Amino acid sequence: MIGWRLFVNPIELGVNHVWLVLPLCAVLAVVYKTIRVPHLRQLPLQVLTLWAYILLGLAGLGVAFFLLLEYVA
Amino acid sequence: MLPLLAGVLAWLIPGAGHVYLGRAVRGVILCLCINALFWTGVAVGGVFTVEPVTQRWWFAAQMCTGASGLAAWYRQDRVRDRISASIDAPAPRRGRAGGAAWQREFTEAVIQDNLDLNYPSDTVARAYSGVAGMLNLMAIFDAVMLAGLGRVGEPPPQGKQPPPEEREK
Repeated sequence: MIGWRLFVNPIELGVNHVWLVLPLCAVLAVVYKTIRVPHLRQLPLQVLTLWAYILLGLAGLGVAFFLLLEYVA
Repeated sequence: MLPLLAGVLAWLIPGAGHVYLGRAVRGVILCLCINALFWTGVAVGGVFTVEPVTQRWWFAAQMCTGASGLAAWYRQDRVRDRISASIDAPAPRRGRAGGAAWQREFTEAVIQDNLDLNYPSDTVARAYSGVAGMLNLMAIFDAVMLAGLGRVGEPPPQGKQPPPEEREK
């Protein structure tokens, strides 16, 4: 048995890995808006808005698929 | 400003293309975000998150992160060679069927030797590192386009546009 090392052995996250979608969407929003905004002063508000849109969109998709599976399929 | 140089710099170090074009703050933000996302993925999934034999499409996306992707690939190769030398593991094989068979045999050999080094059990790690590569691809494209259009430096602040006679020149 070799010792656990960061960047070599995986981290056991269990069911909590679903929360990793929050930083993933945040970085996606930051990178996209860093490229797109004409002036950097607008960046924080634009990032927060896009992050909220992505999360709401994903949540909406989740609810839609749940309803589809529960009541239609 | 050379579009090719901007593209190569943007690939090699995420954000470097924007720094080259005089957009240093944007370049630093891109560098921090893309590298943090990539290395978080590798930290979560372990060294075999970067896997060129059996995960070719994820691997292609990961290599868009430039130096980070190459460093992770080099590290994966070294660790795999060390494990292969210490246990009775098969040599890697190319192709979809050969790669899948090799991964199965290699994993079995690792489990038989009771090594605490498993493949990622889910795709979270690969999603992180792969999305980092895709985001850098977007940054590379932006840097190349800005260099091609000759747009160097940050645009002037709102309300401080150059006078019409200068804009017409």
